Amino acid sequence: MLSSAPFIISKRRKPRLPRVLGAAAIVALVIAAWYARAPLSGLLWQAGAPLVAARNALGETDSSRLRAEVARLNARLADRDTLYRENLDLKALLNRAAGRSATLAAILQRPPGLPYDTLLVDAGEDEGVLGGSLVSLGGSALVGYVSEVYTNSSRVTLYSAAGIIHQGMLHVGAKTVPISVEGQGGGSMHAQVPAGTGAKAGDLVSLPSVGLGLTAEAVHVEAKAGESFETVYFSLPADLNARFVEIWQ
Amino acid sequence: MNSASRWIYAVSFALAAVGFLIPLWPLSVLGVLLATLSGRFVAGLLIGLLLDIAWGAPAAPFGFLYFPFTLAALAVAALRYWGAAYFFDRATPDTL
Repeated sequence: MLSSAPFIISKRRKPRLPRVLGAAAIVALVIAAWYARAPLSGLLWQAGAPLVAARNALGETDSSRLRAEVARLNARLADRDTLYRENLDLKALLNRAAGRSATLAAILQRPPGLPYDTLLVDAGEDEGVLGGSLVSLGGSALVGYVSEVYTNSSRVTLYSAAGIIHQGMLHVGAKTVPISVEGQGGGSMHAQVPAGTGAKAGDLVSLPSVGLGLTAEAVHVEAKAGESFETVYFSLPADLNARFVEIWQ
Repeated sequence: MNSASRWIYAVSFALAAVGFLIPLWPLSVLGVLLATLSGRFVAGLLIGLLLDIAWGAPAAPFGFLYFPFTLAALAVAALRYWGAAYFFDRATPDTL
């Protein structure tokens, strides 16, 4: 009589040796990875570098580039703040305290809404603003001074206003050259420096005082052969599209 | 190697690679799990080991794991090995 139960004719046992060898190979690999993790990791990243670069290139957009730029600038700003604090501490140690207080004011009108390179800000006499106070767009980036004070607002004349001349110190490497910077309107200024000064785009102009205050950044140098002076063109050290200014007291 | 194995190896490796490149580590974990749970222990371990070498040891407080993906593959392999007795009917003959 035949049984209805299924039955197995043959069930081969798998040989044990390859399994043991495989397990030994894996254990050897793990041990090797344990002891040589750093060089192996280096090799892996080196081999995968083109792939990672391709991935980064694929994921890069204008937005991500700008975010990276903002992060870089924030890092630089943090560095600058640290140096500025150290600078103030050193001046305090030498009895030349350069600390200051400032009044924050919103920009109501700006060029080209207002002519003559002026700003209208929402702080005036009632907020303690005084004529002649220096105005910055935050930090030490000075852009002008308070030229007229009203009850609740003030007019700020930018250093770039046509015909306005202010004295500054042009920083060329380790050298400092005293210059007279004249506004040209439209956010630009110019100054004459002796030929051979070595001024170049990116050099900064600060106010001649112990307090840090940048007023201009060189954007172009015009040097004509045979002339004893070069003309340096400047722009304001910050973008006027900011919403607020600080009025230094 | 049968067709199913080929697919499982390819999908596991692809998952791990995509998780590594995006980067989204849970996807890589999925790749390791797929290989290991389907019984391809060696592939699971190798992918885990590769990920551990690439990403390095985790930061504290999980630094003691040192090779987390490899350990995860090992743990899942052990679970599958013991769990198979409960979840798969190994007594059913499929060959004569």
